[in-house]
Amino acid sequence: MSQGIRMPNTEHYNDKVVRQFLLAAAVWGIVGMSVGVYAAAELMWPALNFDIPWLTFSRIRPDHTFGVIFAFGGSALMGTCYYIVQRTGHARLALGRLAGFTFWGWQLVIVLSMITMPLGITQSKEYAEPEWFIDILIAIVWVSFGVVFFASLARRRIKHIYVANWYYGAFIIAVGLLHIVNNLALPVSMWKSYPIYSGVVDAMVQWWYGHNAVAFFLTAGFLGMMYYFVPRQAQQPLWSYRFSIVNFWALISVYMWAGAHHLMYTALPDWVQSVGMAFSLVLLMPSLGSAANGLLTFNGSWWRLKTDPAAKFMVMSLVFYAAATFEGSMMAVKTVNSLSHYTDWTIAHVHSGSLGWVAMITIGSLYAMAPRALGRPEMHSRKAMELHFWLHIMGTLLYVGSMWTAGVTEGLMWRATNPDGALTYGFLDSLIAIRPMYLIRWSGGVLILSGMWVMAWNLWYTAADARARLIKPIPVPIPEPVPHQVPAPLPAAG
Amino acid sequence: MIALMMVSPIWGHVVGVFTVLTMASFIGIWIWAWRKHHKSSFDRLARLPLEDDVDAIAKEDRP
Repeated sequence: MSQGIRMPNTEHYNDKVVRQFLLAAAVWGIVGMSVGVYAAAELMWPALNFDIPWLTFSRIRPDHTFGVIFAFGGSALMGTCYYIVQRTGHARLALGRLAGFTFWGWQLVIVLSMITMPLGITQSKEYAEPEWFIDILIAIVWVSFGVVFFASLARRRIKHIYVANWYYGAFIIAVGLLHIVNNLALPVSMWKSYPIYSGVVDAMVQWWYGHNAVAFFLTAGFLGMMYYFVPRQAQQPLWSYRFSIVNFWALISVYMWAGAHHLMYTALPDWVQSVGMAFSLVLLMPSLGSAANGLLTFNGSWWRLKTDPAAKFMVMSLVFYAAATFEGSMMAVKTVNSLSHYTDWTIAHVHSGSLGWVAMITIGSLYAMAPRALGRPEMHSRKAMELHFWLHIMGTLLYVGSMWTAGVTEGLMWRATNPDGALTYGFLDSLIAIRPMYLIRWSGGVLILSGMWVMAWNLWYTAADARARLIKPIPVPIPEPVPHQVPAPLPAAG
Repeated sequence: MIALMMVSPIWGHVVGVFTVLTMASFIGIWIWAWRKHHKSSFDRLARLPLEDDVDAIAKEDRP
């Protein structure tokens, strides 16, 4: 900021909690993906569970999903959220101690969940496995996160709320709502509870939650990241700010009603399935709108892709976002779903979204944010960033390509019938047919995990000054107040 | 309960009114976002991410 009179300025951005979440994201990324690689290896070589109950696929799979979504993704989301809400409001984070609590509280949630789930202490609800006592802690931490975020917005010095914050706000409100409604349960002991819903209602509530975990955790939150770090890394203003507003309202109002597409051809009433399918198709528009807005922001600065691996991660993430959301809408069409459901095609779709879109926008944003938060002009090694990009993209392509092939193979084999109506193949035939694909999937996972180690190494050296406590906090730019500014400008304060 | 709502003639009107209202709000958001009045503040906001350190990496490399 060069305009405006410099007032005596003693206010600084709170980047300590940002650095804590940055470190947590790097650590949990490695943990969550290591469990994923081991789970993939078990599918290829089943003996790897050594007949130990807590090491079986069914027990470690929730550790993988929780580890990558809520531990890695969640830490990255909370860290970037705190970073962005300060920068786009020109104000220090409100309630510093509560922000510190959200960090430690969230880490406690992660550790408790990832220890109890493999021990079989679980609600058996996908992506909502932790038992009731952890759910209560999650609710407390989440509400605190919301309080810090909205209190920080309230003390902003820029009148309008930047669009990234709208997405983070929707993410916080919706995830809190989903979490509480889906986890309403009656505890019968410390380690066991039963949901208040039963039968198909339980299934519908679960997939209303499950789908909107994708919508508001894995989409809205990461779109907040995208809407800030893509223009920043492209060094160009957002292609169309007003288009981003239309996309925001369309996305959050449509996503809520699409969950039924997870329950096609089940006991769910047919009309509810059709509603889910119709909303999933409408969803194409805001999804592709955001992807286009992000990509077009790079118009005029495509040359940056040659030199800046962070920008490469972001551009590829947007390509995967467009591709995965298009695929998702197609899979919600009942006829397509009859082929794809219960096959590895679903696994391919989930990972093209999570490895392609979510992980790549996160890694790109962490590479953009880390030097600033760690008081360095740039990352320690650009070559290592470049290596990480290629490991990650090759791993993702191997993973998604192999699981697509496996999924379509399974779908076609399961529905094949002889002229007399008998099934052509037994289940085992389809399993043997896709074994090579399981090997390719595992090797893709190994590449991706190696890339995460490269990132951790790079962050460790970038953080050298921060570890030695040599870095100075960044002052908040406080310009001359505009006459009749609403809300009234805050006095600078520490 | 749901079956009762399906047969009641009022239900059809409720659905129709809701559809019109949601369409109106969707078009209303487009109109709101495209108002000339907002242009200057939106342009200012769109530049907000660029203020956070013009990164040294990218500047040096500009061809």
